Amino acid sequence: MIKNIIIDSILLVILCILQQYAVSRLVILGAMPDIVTIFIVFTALRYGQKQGTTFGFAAGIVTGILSGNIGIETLSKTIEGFIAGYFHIPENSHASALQKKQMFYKGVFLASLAGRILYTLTLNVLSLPTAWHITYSIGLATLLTMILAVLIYQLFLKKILAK
Amino acid sequence: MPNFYKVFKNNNAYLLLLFYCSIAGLLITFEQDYSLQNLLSRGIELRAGVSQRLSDMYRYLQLNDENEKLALQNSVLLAEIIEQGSVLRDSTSIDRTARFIESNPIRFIHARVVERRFNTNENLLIINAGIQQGVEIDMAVMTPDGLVGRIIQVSNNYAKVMPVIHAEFSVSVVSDSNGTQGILSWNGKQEQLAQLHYVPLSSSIGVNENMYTADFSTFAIRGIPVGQVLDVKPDKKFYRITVRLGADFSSLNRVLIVKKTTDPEKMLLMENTGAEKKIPEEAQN
Repeated sequence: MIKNIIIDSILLVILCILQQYAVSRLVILGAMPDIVTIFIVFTALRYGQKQGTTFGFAAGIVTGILSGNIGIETLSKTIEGFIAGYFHIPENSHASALQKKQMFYKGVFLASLAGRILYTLTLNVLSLPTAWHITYSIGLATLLTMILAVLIYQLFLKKILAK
Repeated sequence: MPNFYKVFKNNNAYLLLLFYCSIAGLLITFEQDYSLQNLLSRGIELRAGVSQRLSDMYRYLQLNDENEKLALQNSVLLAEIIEQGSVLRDSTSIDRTARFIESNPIRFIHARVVERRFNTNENLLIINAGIQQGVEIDMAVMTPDGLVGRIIQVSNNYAKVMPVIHAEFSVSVVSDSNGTQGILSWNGKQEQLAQLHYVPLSSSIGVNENMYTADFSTFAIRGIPVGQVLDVKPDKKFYRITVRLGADFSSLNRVLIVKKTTDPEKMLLMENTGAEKKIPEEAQN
C-alpha cells in the first residue's frame, strides 16, 4: 500500500509536468484536457475518498506552482479528488468490469465538471463573460478530458481496475 | 467523548476536505504575500527553464533544415560573386561574357561527400548527387573555398569525382592580378599543395596571387577559385610554382556542382579539325 502510494506520488509529479508542457499544447478552441484530473479520479477510485482528496490537494499544489495560480488550482483539484472519492471501488467489491468502467467515467465527468466550474468561476469572478461562454469553456474542457479518459482507460487502466 | 470520536471517524473525509479547502483559501488570500510570490516565481523559473530546454532541443532537431537553407543561400550568393568577378576581370569581352551568363546562368547542385578513397596517387570522391539531380560528366565540383575536382562518372543518385589531388587531374588557371596563365596539376605529394606549369620566365607572377579557373578549361567555367601562389622559383624555361589549394580535402563534407558547362561553341571549335571553315549557327546560339 505504501509502496503504491509512493509510486503514485512520483507519477503525480510527472503527470503534472506532462500536463504543463505536453498536454497543454492540445488546445482545441481554447480548451484543453486535464490528465491530472484523470489521475486523481483513478487514485480516488482505488484508495478511497480521503486519499483522493489528499492526492487532489497535492496535485493542486504542484500544478499551482507551475502555473502560478496556486490557490485556485489547489481548491479545484481538492474538490475534484473529493467528488471522485464517491466512486471509490472497495478492494473486496464484486462489481463487474463494466461497472468499474462506468464508475471511472462518471467519476472523471463529475470531477472534471466540478473542477472546471470552480476554476472558471473563481478566476473570472469579477470579469464574467456570458453564461454561454462559461458553459462552452467548461463543457468543452470536460468533454476533452472525457475523451482523454476513455483513451487512457482503454490503453492503461483497464487491467488495473478490472482486478 | 466517544460520541465525538464516532462523529469524527464517520466524517473525517469531510473534515479533511474542510482542512484542505481552508489551506487553499489561505493560499488564495495570501497569494500576493512575499514568501508565496517567491515560491511562485521559482516555479515560473523552473517552468521557463524546462520550456527553454525543450525549445533548444526542438531547434537542434531543425538544424539540418536550417543548414540546407543556409547552404542554398550561400550558393546563390557565391554564384553572384563569381559572375560579377568574371565580368569585372575581363572588360574587353564583357558583352560576350554577359551574353553567355545570361543565356547560361550559373546554378549549383548541392551534394555531400559520402565516400572518399585516398591512397598514394589515386584519390577519388563519391557524392550523393547523380543523374536524377541533374549531374553530368565533366561538371566542375567546388566549395566556396576552391575547386574540388570534376565529375568523371555518374549513376542515378551518385557521382564519382576526380579531385584536384589526383595524378591525372589538370586544369587551366589564370592569376587575378596580371592574367598569368598556366596548367595546374598535383604531383602526388602534399595534399594541400599543387604545381603550376608552363608559366614562362617572362611572366610577372608573384607570391600570394590568387589563381582562378581560366576560360581555356574544358570542364570548369571561368572564375572558380583554385588557390594561392605560395612559392615561385625560376627553372630553365619556366617557373616552378607551388600553389596552396583553397579547398580543404581533409574536412570535405558538402560540395557544389557547377551546373553550367563550358560554352558549346568553344568546345565545337576546339574539336573542329579545320575542314569546315564555319561553325554551324545553331552551335553559336
